[in-house]
Amino acid sequence: MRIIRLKIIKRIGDAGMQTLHEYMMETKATEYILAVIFLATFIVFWRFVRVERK
Amino acid sequence: MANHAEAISLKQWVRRELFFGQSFGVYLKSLITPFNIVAAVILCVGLPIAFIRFTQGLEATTNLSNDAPWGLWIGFDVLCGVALAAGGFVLASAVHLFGLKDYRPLVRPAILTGFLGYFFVVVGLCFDLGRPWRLPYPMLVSYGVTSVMFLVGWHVALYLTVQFLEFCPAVFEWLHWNKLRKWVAWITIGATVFGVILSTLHQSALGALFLLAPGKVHPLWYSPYIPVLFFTSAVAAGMSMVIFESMLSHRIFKSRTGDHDPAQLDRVLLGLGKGASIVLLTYFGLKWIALAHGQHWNLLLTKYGLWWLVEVFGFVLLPCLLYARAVRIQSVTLVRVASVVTVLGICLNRLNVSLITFRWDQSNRYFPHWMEIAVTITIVTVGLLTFRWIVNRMPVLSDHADYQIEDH
Repeated sequence: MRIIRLKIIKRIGDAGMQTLHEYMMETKATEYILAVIFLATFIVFWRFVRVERK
Repeated sequence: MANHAEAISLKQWVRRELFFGQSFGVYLKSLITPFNIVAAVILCVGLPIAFIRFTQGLEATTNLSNDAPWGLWIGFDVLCGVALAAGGFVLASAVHLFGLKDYRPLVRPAILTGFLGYFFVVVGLCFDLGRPWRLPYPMLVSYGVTSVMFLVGWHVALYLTVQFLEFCPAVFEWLHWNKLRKWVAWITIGATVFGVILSTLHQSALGALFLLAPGKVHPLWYSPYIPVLFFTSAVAAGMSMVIFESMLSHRIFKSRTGDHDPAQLDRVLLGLGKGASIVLLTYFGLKWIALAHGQHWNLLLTKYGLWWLVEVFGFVLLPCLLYARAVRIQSVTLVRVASVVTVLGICLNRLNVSLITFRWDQSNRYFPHWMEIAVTITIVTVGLLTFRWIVNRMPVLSDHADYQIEDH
């Protein structure tokens, strides 16, 4: 975790970005986070609708 | 009409197959029903307007202008029509390619809905474009290989042909043309594969049309992902339209549904509902990812942003959850309710992209002329009349007694 955090901080600094918000805007991290949330929701939803027929 | 028709004269065949065994006079009298009277009034208004449009041009019948060149005929007749006609390829691929034979009773109605949907899309397009005799130009005279319009034109023409071929077995069974029926049944799988390819390209190409207008479509609805969004939503719309149409057909054409097991039909509709819920959830996720891609979070609290939220939550997530709930409690009624909300939602999305939020930054906005609305209602009415005429005569909702079903 520490290495990842350092890498992010280094990248923010290299790109001249000041905040995490700017970093997320620049790297489009929100899209990836949403995609992961969507995948998790999809798996839960899939299990929810997979009911045996009466 | 091979050996079967040889036994009866043409006059007898016409009387039996076209007039339900009645004389022409009795048949004409039987046409006087409340629905037909309303349809006749609509046609009496719509047909003269069609004449005015083709003789005096767009200015006499529409509010279209250089600033708003696409109106109701493109927004509703073409975009909504194509999306709602997607049930044909979804059901055909499910049955003929993936072997889900339980869904077979819904294939012909779905293909007929798809074929008529596309046919009347072309009719609506002719109203918008004018000069219908120039329709074959992109195929024969003037190629425009770098244009999305060229792609859309070819797709519609080819897919319309494919859907006609897919529906031909029903026509040939009705006419008792056995050899031709065997031939088209033989090419069904090939036609289905070709149809799936064309539909995938065509549904997304309609979305791709709006990639050409990045500043004109509101940023919340515009996205580089719009072809994917159009395709995904069309699959949900197609499945929902099949559910909705089967609900109406099995009430209106009860005598034509044959000996279908109602429990079997309910199982099939629940299965379709399950599929539609999963597709709608995917569409919901893609809408948010597209929003994140455009980084337009700040627009969500504007007037258009709230409208976007109404569309996404009220007409995508809500029917998705309704479908899921219906599958959990095995409620066919809830599946039907969800199908109506989905159909409305996809129509709303297409109208949002092409009309409601198109040129959102302009003060002088387009609103359809009453004649445009009248023409649209006329086209829908003629579509319904054609659907009814075919279903009442051909083996669409049930199998023809003389033919084995499993040979294609």
